[in-house]
Amino acid sequence: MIGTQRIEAFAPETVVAPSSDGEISEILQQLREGDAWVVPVGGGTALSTGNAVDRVPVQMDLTGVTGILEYEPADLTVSVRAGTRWSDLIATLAAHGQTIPIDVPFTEKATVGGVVAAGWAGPRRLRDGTIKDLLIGASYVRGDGLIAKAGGMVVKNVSGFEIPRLLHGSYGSLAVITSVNLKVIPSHESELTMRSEGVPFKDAADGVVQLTRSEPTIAAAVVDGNGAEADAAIRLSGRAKPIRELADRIRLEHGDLQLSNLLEGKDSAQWWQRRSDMLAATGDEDVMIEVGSTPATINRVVEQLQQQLSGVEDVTFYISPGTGSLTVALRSAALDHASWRHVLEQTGLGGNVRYVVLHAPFVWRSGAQVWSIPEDQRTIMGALKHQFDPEHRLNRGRLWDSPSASDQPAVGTMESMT
Amino acid sequence: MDRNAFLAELKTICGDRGVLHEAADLLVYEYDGSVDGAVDTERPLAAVLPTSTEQVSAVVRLAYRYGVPVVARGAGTGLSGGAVARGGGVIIALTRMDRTLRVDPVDRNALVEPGVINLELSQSVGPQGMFFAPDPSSQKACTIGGNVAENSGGPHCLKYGVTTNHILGLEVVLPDGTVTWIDAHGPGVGGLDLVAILVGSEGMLGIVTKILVRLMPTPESVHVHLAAFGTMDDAAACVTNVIGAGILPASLEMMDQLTIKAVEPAYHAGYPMDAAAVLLVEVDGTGAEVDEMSAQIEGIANESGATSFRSAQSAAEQELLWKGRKMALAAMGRLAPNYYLHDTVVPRTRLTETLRAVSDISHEFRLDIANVFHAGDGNLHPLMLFDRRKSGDVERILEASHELIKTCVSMGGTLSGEHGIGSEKQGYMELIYTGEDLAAMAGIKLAFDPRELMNPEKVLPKGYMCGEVRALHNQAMAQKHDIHPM
Repeated sequence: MIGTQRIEAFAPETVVAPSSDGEISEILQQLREGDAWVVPVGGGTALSTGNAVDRVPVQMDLTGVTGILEYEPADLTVSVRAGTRWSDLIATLAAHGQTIPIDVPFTEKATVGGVVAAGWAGPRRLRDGTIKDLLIGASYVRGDGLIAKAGGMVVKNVSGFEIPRLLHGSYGSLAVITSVNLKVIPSHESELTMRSEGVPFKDAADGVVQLTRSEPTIAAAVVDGNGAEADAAIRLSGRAKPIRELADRIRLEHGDLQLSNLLEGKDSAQWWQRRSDMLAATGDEDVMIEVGSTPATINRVVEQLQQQLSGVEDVTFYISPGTGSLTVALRSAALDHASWRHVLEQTGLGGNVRYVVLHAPFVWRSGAQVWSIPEDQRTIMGALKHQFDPEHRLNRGRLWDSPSASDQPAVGTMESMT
Repeated sequence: MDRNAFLAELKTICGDRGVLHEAADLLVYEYDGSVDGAVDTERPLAAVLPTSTEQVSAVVRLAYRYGVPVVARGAGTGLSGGAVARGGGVIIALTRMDRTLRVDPVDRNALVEPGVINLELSQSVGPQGMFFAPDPSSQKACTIGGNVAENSGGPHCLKYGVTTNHILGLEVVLPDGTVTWIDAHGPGVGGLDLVAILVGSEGMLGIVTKILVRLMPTPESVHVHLAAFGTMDDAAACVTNVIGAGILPASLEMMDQLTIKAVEPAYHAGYPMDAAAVLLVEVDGTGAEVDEMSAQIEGIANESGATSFRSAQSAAEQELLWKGRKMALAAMGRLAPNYYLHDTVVPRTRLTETLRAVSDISHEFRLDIANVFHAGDGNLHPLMLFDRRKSGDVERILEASHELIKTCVSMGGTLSGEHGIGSEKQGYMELIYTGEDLAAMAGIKLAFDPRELMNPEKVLPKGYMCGEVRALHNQAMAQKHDIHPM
């Protein structure tokens, strides 16, 4: 149980721990009377993502909403309640030789619903995609208390609007997810990680981009470094023989990457888990920002950022070149949010660069709109919010919305239809 | 409304040749690929053929001002009535917006207009070692815009996923004519994933005018195998066994005896005429991977009781084996003048049971039903054969359809895997969803299109739109809390 975990710097004013959809709905409806709102919390591993909230009237602990609802291994599908710990789900699947190929930090804390709500994705999105690609159904309770579901337990389904995929990455701003249905995959027979350390940064970054381009079956590839030197790691998974052949070919054709350090099987998986945990185990003063790019432009973006951040100490880049993902880690005291925006502008990359503040101290985010969401998209997002949660009873302020800005849907109102 | 004034304004936007309004010109726009009888046809007020986003936006703005519904249309190959203008309205045919604007072989994507034809995209990027994965049977004619609207699938979706897995961004004309670009969730992209809700929304939320599609690298090696079986049960068991063994083929298609009878004499694909069913299995990947998977699949097929197993030895032979599958619908004309194609999905482990139930329905309603479908996904396509000229035939297939859909839902299945709901299956939505589920879906429609001008009266059954939804919800809440409003 996470109990009265502090969210931001604030202890919740009230903690509720519902165990059913009905209870969640009741709680949300009771709020209609006052000016309180609910912050749904799973494992609490992504609470410092996005805008700062300066009050937590009601923390809704969802870790009591647990259990596998339906699992037929031969169908390669599972239905699981949202508060189930990620590690428990993975253990259930592993007993049947199956898995979900998503990089989740702190798997013993993180919950399935939280992973979906945060739209979490790690380096394995290179080949295996994200949990959004595996999401085939969901049950949820809207901000206004309506209990509903969409999708099903089949792997192909175009029966009605794709609400489960809309809830992915919505940070609990539309509905409390209470269960999800997921596609699972057979566990890979074998896995292997090839690593190098202390390679010149640019060589590693360029080399890995080339590598992921020429070898599309690589499961994940990362380059981590401070600008001068970098460590590179390549993850291969699949059938034993083909991945051994692939590893040989990589050594032969990409020798300059010096991927001589090998990890196999469990050692390989654990190395990637430690990296995921490390990226999420940020200290109070750390800032982590994921910047969106593409494989073709990522190294140019990194170079530009390096130049602009050259006077800032302790900057580290965690890059997944083949996915276009680049996470910048820095100390909060070194650069505030406005300066970060300024840095982006100075890179000359224009307003096209999108970013998500994965983690930053409260003061760093306080008073700032830290989501890089284009204005015209906010209009339609506001209209969706209005339908799901008209009184802003869910996670107020966390995503991009504030009650004052989007109380009125800009696209249209119920009244205008008649 | 002053019809003439409205038409005149349409012509100033799209030009005289871009606006059709005579009955004879509109005839083709009364239909899509659906079965007449299962779906109502309707004559639109006009059909326009814009050539740019600006024109689409201007038409939508005009229609918004007049309160006239608009319906986006691609090639009109849809099978659920999605492109039929219910209650009249303007059809916006996007077939003249057919340019591929940019192909990026490094990031493996392409920016295309909605009228680009599915197969032509794959053909044009093929020389650069890429392809567009969704491959509906209609891929020679259907458009990428239509694929986005319907979240289309196809045989290769078993491994590669359906359209939604391949859309990175969209330019959309919203119901009030506003043009906006939206990105799918990806690195650094936060907020609500509007692409996720737009794809598969059947033209009810906006009209897509540019599409950034993900392209897949052409696999190094491809094998195609044909396994024949003495019973449908054995073939279905083989499907479950392959998937259960942890093998993910690129596609895993099944055809039953009736289909073989139609296809083989017409196309000589090499399907054994005495087989009760055949499985067409394609595997792709690296050379070593494909060799290993192929050997495993042959073993499983034999254990599952295959009466023969054949692997194509050349690209030409692969193509021939596929030709039989791809031309199966066309070949049905040899068996009956008309067919009604269904699209239900069941969990893969319920395939055997479901196919038996389909066979029972065939006997009960004295109907020939052919099965040609994406077995690996559990996506059934029962084809009910009939003759429209015979009195009672249409009624019989509609009754049998009702039974079939109910049966598939009772197996834990759903209404549609890739064809959409449209007007064809909206009456069945209550079989799988509660009133609350549907009210939440109506909320999505209201957020985008509060005046309900974009492809109205589709997907959601009657009674779930507009004010009725909020009234329903409020009533439910009031009852729950024992509140009695005046």
